Amino acid sequence: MLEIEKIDRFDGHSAPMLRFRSSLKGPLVGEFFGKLIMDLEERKKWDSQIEQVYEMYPVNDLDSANILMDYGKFGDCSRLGLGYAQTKKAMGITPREQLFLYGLQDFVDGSCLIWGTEVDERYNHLLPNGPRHTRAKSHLFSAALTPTGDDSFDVEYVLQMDIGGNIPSFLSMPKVVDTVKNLFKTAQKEFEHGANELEAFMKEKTEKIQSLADKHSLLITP
Amino acid sequence: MNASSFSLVLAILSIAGTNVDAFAASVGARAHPSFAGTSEPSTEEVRTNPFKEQGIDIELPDFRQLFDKIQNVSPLARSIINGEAIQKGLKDIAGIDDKGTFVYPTHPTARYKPHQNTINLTL
Repeated sequence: MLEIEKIDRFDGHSAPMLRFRSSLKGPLVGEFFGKLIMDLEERKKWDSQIEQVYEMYPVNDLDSANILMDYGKFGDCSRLGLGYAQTKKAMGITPREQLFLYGLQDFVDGSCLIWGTEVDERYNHLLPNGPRHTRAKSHLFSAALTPTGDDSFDVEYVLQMDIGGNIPSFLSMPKVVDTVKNLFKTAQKEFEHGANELEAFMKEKTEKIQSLADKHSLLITP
Repeated sequence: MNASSFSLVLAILSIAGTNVDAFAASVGARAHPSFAGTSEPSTEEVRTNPFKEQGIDIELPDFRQLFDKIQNVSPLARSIINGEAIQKGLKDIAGIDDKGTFVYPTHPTARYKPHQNTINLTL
């Protein structure tokens, strides 16, 4: 079951805030869910409009990121960067492009938070070389994932997306909803029936959680 | 010390306190960082640029505000950040209220309220 809700005019933007909730089968591996969004080949499985998506400027200095994020108050930032996405021309709509800040926060209970927000247009010089396209904007994006068992997890996905140009949100919203529905269908398939890749991800995740737990236990040692 | 003496001392302390406050305000002492209390350093004081390696100078968002915003619209995110999500998940969090704003339950028994904007679909 996928539950979809919306709220209009959130934060003063004309595009509605959409919220999707579902319980999925399979082990929770946050990075794997993130890969469905940020890896082009994975993304193509559920987003027919996608032309390009990649981590344009991934951050290695995650310690600095964690300092900026109140020293772990919002989990352990294990991924941060500037991402770029471009859609294809479709149904009379010209290609769109996005430059966004994204991150992945890990929590000691195995939960994670994948988030993103559009980068201000004053940083357009960071866009890749090539022709420019109409800017779409994900004002806010977040996918909260928490395990509900060894082989199941819940997802709450929120997105406030303005596709730009002169297309009113009541026309673009159904397409956005359909696309995110496809993401959930794909995620269900990928997580439930698992691939070797998922197992590799799980191993890495387990090691990371252990490392995080060790870090916390060090912090509380008198 | 009898009651009247005690009242007198209190009155003196009160006047002195008022004067100190007035003085501090007049010279702007409260606004000066040197006069700051012992609270933890703000993120501004220790602000670093994680993109420095890439040679990118970019003003990052205030992450407290960003995560607050996320928590406003995602009760599950709030639950995770507050460390309350273990083995609970969606079944224990609320949805949007009748005013059209996302809310988080204030009582453990609070449950999701159906809303006209909600639709359920089978995956």
